[in-house]
Amino acid sequence: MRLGKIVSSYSHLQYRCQIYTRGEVPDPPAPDDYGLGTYVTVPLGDDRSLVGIVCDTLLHNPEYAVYGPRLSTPEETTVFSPDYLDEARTLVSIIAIGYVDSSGCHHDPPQTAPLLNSEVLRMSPEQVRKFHHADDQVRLGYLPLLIALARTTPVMTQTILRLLTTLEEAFPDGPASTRLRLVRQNLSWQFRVLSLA
Amino acid sequence: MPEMDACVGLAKGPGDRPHQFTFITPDSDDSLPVGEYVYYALPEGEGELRVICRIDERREARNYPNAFLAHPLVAPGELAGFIGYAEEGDELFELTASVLGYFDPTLGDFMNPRRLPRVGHPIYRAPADLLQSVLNRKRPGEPGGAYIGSLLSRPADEVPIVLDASRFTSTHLAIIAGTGSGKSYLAAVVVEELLRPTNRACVLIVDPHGEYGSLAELSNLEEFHADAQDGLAEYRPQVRVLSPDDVKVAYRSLELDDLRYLLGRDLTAKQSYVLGVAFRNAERVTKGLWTLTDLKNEVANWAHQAASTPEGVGGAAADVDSNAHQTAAALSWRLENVLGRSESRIFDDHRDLALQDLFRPGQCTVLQLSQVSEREQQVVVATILRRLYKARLATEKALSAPGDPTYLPYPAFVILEEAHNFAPAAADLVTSEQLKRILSEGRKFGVGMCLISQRPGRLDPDVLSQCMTQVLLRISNEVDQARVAQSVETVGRSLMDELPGLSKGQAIVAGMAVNTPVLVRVRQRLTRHQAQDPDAPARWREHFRKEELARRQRDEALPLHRPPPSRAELLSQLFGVEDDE
Repeated sequence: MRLGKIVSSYSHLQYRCQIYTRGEVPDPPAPDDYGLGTYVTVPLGDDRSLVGIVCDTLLHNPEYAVYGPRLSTPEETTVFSPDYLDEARTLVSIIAIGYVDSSGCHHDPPQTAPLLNSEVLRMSPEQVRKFHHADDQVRLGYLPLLIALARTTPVMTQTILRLLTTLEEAFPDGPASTRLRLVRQNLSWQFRVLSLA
Repeated sequence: MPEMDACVGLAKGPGDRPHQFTFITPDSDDSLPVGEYVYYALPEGEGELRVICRIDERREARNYPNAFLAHPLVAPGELAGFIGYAEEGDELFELTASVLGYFDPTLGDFMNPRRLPRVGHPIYRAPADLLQSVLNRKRPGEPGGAYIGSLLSRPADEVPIVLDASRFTSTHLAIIAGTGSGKSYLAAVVVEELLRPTNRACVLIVDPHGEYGSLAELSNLEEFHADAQDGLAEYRPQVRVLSPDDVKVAYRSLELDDLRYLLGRDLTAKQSYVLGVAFRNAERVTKGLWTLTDLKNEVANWAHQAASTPEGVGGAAADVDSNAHQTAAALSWRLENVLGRSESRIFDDHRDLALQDLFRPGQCTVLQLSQVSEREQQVVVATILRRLYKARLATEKALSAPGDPTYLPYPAFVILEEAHNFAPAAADLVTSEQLKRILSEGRKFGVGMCLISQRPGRLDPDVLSQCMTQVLLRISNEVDQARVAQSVETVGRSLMDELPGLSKGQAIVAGMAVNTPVLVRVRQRLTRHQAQDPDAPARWREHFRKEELARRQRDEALPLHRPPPSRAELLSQLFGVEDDE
C-alpha cells in the first residue's frame, strides 16, 4: 500500500514522510495503516529498498492560530474554489532500520539515503516475515539501535513494544515466538517497571 | 536424557570457588531451593555425562525496585500491572551450584569432571530416578538398606533416602541435634529399619530417659514379619525392654577403675591404694568371681595384716599401720554405701546381664536407665561396652567357643543416648576410654556405635570425628555448630548454614552411608513416639476436674471414728446374752 512520500529528514536514519490525502491517490491510507510500529519500505532507485518503521506522527495545520477574515466557509470553498489546496497534513517519522537488496535482508541502515519525494510503501505481513528471516533463523538485529534511540526519544519505547507485539503475531509459534516474548518481557520491565525505580 | 528433563536455567559463569558455577533461572514454580539437585550434560565419547550439582546459594537477579514495595497492602505485581506491565514471571534468580560430579558406578562415588558449564549451557533439574540411584548406596527394600526418609527439596517420598546400614553399623553413626529436634524419633526410625526382615540386626539401646519403650510394638507389626524363604527362617523381631529393676551388673564385671570411679573423687590416695590391693586379692582368691563381701573381707584382711606387720605392707612406711583399721573401715563403709546400698540396686553379687541375652540378631534390647544415677549409668555402659568388645575380639580371634560367656558370633550395634554424658570433652570418664576404643577399633570386630547428643559442644571431639556417618538435625547453639563444623568434615559449608533453619524432622545426612551429603525429611515412625513433652497446663487443669476433686476428697477423708463397744454390746454380739449388771 502506498502511504506517502519522503519530504524531509532529521538525519541519515530519520526521515519525514507526508501521508497521501484524498485527491493525491485513489485510495488514501487510513490512520491505522501508518500507526506506530508500522513497517514501511522506500525504494532507493536501484535494486535496493530501505526498510523503516513509523516511529512518530506529526499533524501539520498551517491554518492553526490564523484568525484572519475568510471569504467563505470550508463547505462553500469546495464549491466556489475547487482549486484551493488544503494544507493540513499528516506527517510521520520513519526510522531506517535496514534494507533489502538482491543478496537478501540486512538489519543495518543503508549507505545511501532515499531521494526526496521517494514513495513510502507499507510492508505486507509476508514482507515483514521475510525481512526478519535469515538462515532459517528469525533475527532482530536493528533492536539495539531502537533501544539506543529510546533513551532520547520517549515515543520510541512504545514503538518498540508495539513492533514486538506485531512480530509476535507474525511468528506465533516456535523458538522465534519464545525469543520475541522474552525480549518484549525484558524491555517492558526496563521501560515500565525500572522507570519508577 | 536431557531432552526429556526440564531445563530450568542457563549457566552464567564460574562461581567463587573452583567447583562452583552460577546460573540464571526464573524458577517460577519455586522448585529450586537451596539443597536441590540439578545437572548439566557434558559430551563424553559417543554419549554424555550428567554432572550432578547441588544448589548452595540463591540470590535475586531481577526483582521489583523498592518503590514497588512501598505499601504493604499493594502487591508489586499489581502496581506493575497498574502502570502497564502485564508480563508473567517477573523475577529472575541467580543460583550458585556446587559440582558433585558424575556418578561412577564402578567406583561407587562421584567424580569431578573439572569442566564447568560454559555460559548459556542449559541446566536441568535432576530427575527423581537419577537422584535415587546416585545419592543412595542402597535401594529401598534392599538388604543392608535403611530407608530413613526422603529428599527434603522434593515432595515427600519422591526421592527416598536409604542409608547403607553395613557402613554406619561398622563405621559408626552420630545423631546430633538440639533438644526437641527429633533425635530419638530419628534413632527409632533407624532401629525400625535395622529390625526389618531385610536386616534382622542386633541392637542395644542405652536409654537414659525411657524414650524407647514403645519400640516393643515392632514385634506385632506386619511390616516386620517375614515367612521362611531364600534359606532364611521365619522372622519376627524381638524387642526386650529392660526396666531399671531388670538392669543388673555383677560385681565381677567391674574393674578397679570402675570401682574407683563409683567411689568418687574424694577417695584418698591411701584408700585408692588399699582398694587396689583388696581388688586384686579378691580376684585372685575367687578366680574373678568376687562379690562385695569378698572385697570387703580383703579390705579387712589388708588392715589386719598392715596393723600386725611392723614394716608395713609392700615396703610402705611404718606410719601406715597406725591408721590401717581406720582406712579400711572408711573404705568398707564407702563400698557398702555406694555399691551395696545404692538406690538403684543395680550392682549384684551374682546376677548379671548375659551378653547373649543383650545381643541377639533380630532383637533390640532397650536398657532403661531412667532411675539410675549418672555415675552408675556410666559404669553400667562401660562394663557392657568392655564385655561386648572383649567378647567380639575373642570370638573373632577364635579365643572363645560356643557356650563360653564371651562367645558372640555376630556383630552388634549399640545406640547411646546422651553420649556427651559418656564421653565429655573436658573430662576423662570411665566410659571415655571404652568408647574411644570401640570407635577406633570396633570396626574390625563388628562393634558399631550410634552416638546421640544434643550438646556436641560438650562431646569429645575425637569421639565425634570417629563417627563416619553423621545425621544433623536443627542446632541453634553456635558453640555446638562450631564443634560440628570442626568434627564433621564431610558436610559442606552451605549445608552447615542450613543447620539453624531446619525444622523438626528435617536433617542433614552426611558421611559414608550416603554418596553425598543430603537434606532429608525423616519418614514417619511405624511405632508410637514416646518421648513427648508433658503438657503441664493440661495437667494443672486436670487437678481441678470434678472427678479428680472427688477422688482426692475420698483419699484424704479421715477414717470414721467409732467408739469401742460397751460391755453389754460385746456380750450381746459374742454370746447373745444380755448383761445382768
